[in-house]
This record gives sequence, structure tokens and C-alpha cells, in this order.
Amino acid sequence: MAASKLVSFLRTYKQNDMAVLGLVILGFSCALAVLAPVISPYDPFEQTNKLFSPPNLEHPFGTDNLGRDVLSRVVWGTRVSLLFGFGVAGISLALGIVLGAIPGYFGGLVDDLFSRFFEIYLMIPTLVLIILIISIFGTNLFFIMIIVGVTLWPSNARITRAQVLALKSRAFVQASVGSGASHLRVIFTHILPNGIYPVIVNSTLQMGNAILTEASLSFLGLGDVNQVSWGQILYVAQFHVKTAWWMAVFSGFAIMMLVLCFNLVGDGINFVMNPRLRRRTGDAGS
Amino acid sequence: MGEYVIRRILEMIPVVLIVIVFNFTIVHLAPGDPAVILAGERATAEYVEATRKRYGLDRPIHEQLILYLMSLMRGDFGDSLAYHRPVLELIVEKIPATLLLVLTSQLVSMVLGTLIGALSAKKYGSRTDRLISFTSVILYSMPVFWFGLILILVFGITLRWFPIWGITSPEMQLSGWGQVVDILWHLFLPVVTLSAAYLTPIFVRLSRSSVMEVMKEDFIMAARAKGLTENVVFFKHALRNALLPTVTQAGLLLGFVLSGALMTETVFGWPGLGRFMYESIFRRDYPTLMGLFIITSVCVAVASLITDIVYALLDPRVVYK
Repeated sequence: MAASKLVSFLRTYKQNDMAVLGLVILGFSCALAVLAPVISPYDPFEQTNKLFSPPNLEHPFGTDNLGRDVLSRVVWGTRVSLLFGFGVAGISLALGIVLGAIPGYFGGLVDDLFSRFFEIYLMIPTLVLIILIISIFGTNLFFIMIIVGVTLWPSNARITRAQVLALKSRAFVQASVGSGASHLRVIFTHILPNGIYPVIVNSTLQMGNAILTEASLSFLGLGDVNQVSWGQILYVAQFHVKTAWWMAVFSGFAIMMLVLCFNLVGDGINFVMNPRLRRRTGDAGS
Repeated sequence: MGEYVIRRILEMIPVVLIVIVFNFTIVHLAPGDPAVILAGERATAEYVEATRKRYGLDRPIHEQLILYLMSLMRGDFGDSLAYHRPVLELIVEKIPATLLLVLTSQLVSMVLGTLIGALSAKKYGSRTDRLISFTSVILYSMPVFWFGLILILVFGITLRWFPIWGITSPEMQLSGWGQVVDILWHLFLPVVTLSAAYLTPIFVRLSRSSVMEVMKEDFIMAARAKGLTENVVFFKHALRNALLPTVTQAGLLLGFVLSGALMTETVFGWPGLGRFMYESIFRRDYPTLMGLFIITSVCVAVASLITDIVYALLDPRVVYK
């Protein structure tokens, strides 16, 4: 049953060229991340006396201000970015599902409180908040991951809440409630499996957002200096744009490709799961 | 209407309170002495003690919160560690530059984005539509500051068409119209950065889906049945109705827009809040960072209030509750 569902999912997914492209880039990035020690030609931390060499055969992406090989650093950076993206999206997903299902399912005061909270949340410039916290508490990668994850969950919660609200009055859910199932059982076995896909789509997009946020923080000097991340490379690159364009160009391009693939995959899942997007509606082209 | 505006203004109070409590909590949870955080790591022992007295940090925690609230009400956000001047004064000075960048980019992106998105919806499924969608998802996936760096590389350093730093050229000693032109010349690349890599793709997407929704409505079919040309149906009936959701979304995006502006300013040395924030991070100027968090939150809340009012004026169907 599950396998045939997957096959039919993939069959529809395949119709969307862009989504397939996204999946290919994602696969490629995962391979890079896993195989980084094998693929990267040099140690990403190894400093040499060849400072600022432009791209050449020996160093295809050139070297940086400390003579480190930029290609190796970009390859290793894939690890940090992927880890960061999945970590943040995972935290945000877990918090969002729990904190969205509760107000959606129980309604009443809890739901009012959540709605008020969400309105307030929308008005808070989260980037500034993250910057304030990170600059005071320090720049450990896992700490940054938690903080970013904790600031992203409300959008997942809002979507989960709407889905729970829409599904809880449906006959199959009511039947389960009527036959005495516990609240937890109703939520987790009947409501969520049927309403989870918009949350998954949102999480995919959040992975992209998380990677961009990490890059932004690093660019502002709030990255984890013990990690090789694309944001770190860009942070150093900004001081040498005039002399060493290659430092900025390749790492930024890598960020763009990874974020792009998450956006394309997110759109792709949406395309499969939301039949309204596939039907041609409103004959606007004539 | 008046009642609605007052209610919306009252609704801003919890936002500001929550932001202030956040600030307070962060300082108290932070490792180390709050007085040292507020006085600066290099401050003398006397200055640390003076700071402790000033914020009442030797008193019970609930009294501290009340004291903090009261000093903020008086407009006392503390002194910047880097400039030894009141934080509020310094921040207010930086607002106009940020506002100029944000408003210009928002305007450019809304107009361009809506038109491109509408074109995409009109040609739904065509090659043009696919090209537009793909380009906007690529632009949207770029780190905005990286796009800025690339523009600096190409148009600033290589081609030398545009300045790459600041808001004016002080060495040219311009005044009057010359100065205005000079500012606009400096504004060009930052606006292109913020619009192209950040805002326009969002508006394209919003406008495309909202035009497609509207095209399904009965009144469009009625307009077609009346024998109106497709262009009249599209521009007079569909596009105008599709604009409203775009305006609402624009209001909801303000916090997001601000983040983009902060990053853009950093790259171009644009002397607004973002550049100031960047410098404050470098100088570990925590009172300033805390002030920036409060002020930017208030700015976003006020801007979203204005958007709501404009929206209510534009759409007669909106009922004030």
C-alpha cells in the first residue's frame, strides 16, 4: 500500500521538470556532503603561502586570504549547510506540529491565545531578535540552529492548526472520537497523517530559509568560526571583493543552488499533493 | 473608522511589551553579570557600578522590570557603548536612510512584481510563464547580500557605473539638485539588490496566484459573456481585483522586508539601521542592539497599521470590527 502510494507520488512528481531538477541538485549536494573527505582536493583548514591565487588548474576556485583552497572549503561547507537546514526545519516542524495541533483541536481560549500570539509574532523582526541573542550568547553552530528553529515554528503551527481545524469535524475523525479513541490517538493517527502535507511543503521551504539565515548571520560576523560554512567564506570575502572575486562568487553560488533545490522540491511536493495546481483553471491564455 | 484605528493602536501595546520582556529576559539569562553586558566588557569598575545603580540591577527582579519599562517610556534606552550618546537618538538618526531604501524598493517591487506576475498568470502554462517562475525562484534563492556583492563586482568595480559605498559623495561637495541626483545614484544598486533578490520574486508569486484565482470568478465569466475584449477583462476586471490580496500580503511581509534591508545596507555601507546594527555587532554594543530590536519592532507594527488602514480605504468590502 505504502509502496504503491510512493510510486504514484513519484509518477506525478516526475511530470514537473523543475521539481526533478531540484531533487537532482539535492541528491548531488547530499553526495558532496557525505563524500567531502574523499572529494575535496585539500584540507579546508590547511593554510598555505599561496594567498589570493585566482582560479587555476591546481585550485579551480582559487585560494583565500589565508591561502586555503576555496573549492575544498565550498565542498566541506555543504555539510554544515545541509545539517543546519535539516536541523532547523526539524526543530521547527516538531514544535509547529505540537503547538499548532493543540489550539486547532481544542479550540476555545487556547486557540484565541494562539491567534493573538501569531499576530504578535508576525510583527517581530525575527532576524534582529536572532542577532541580539546570538551576539550576547555566543556563536556555537548548534545553539544558532536551535535559536533559528525556535523562531521559525509559528508558521508551521499556523498551517497545522488550520489543517486540524478543517479535518476535525470530518466523519472519519468524528467516528474515531465516537468510538472512544483518546485525543492523542485521534490527532496523531487520523488528523495529522491526512493533513500533514502543507506542513511538509513549508518545512522544505524553511530549510532554504534556514540556510539563508545562517549565511546572513555569518556574513554579519555571527557565524561559528570553528565550522567551514559558506556564510563564513562570504564573511571573509566581503573584505576582499576588490582583490579576490572568486572567494565571494563560488560560495554564494553554492548557497543559491542549495536553497533553490529546496524551493523547487517544496513546489514539486505541492504540485503533486494539491490537485488544484495541476488542473488548468481560468482560461486566461486565450 | 476612528474606532478601528484606535483599536489597532491599542493592539500594538502587547507587541511592544513582549519585545521589551524579551530584551529583559535575554540580558538576565545571558552568561555573566547584566551590569557588565550593559556597561560594556571594557568598562571601568565604577562605570559598571553606575550602570547597576542606573538600571536598579541590585534590586529584586520584578522591580528591575518595572524600572526598565519606566526608563524606556521616558525614552531612555541607555547609552551606546561605542558613541557614548543616547541609543534612541542614534537610532532615530538612522531611520530616514532605511526608510528611503525600504520604501523605494517596496514601490519598485510592488509595481514590477504585480505586472510580471499578472503577465505570468495571463500566459499560464506557456514558455513565458515558466521562464518567469523559474527566474523568480532563482532570484528568491539568492542570499540578498551576495547578490549585492555581485552587483558591486560587476557594476561598481569592473564597469564603474555606480558608487559602491555610502549614500553621498562628500568629496564632490554637491548641493540642491546635484545632491538629490547623487543620492539617487547611490540608491540605485541597493534598490536593485533588495528588489530583485528579495522583494520582486515574492510579489510575482503573489500576484500570479491571485490573478489566477480571480480569473475563476463568476464576474470574469460575466464580463466575457458581455463580449468585452480579453484585454479589458484582464486589466479592468481581473488585475484590479487581484491587487488587493497583494496589498494585504505586503503588510504582512514588513518584518521580512526589514531583514532584507538590513542585510542590503551592510553590503553597500548604506548609513541606515542595518549598517548601524552591523557596527554594533562588531563593537559588542549591546544597549544599541537591544534598542534596535525594540525600535525595529515598533516600526514594523506602525507600518503594518498604516498598511491596514490603506487597505481598508482601498477596499469598500472591508468592514471595521
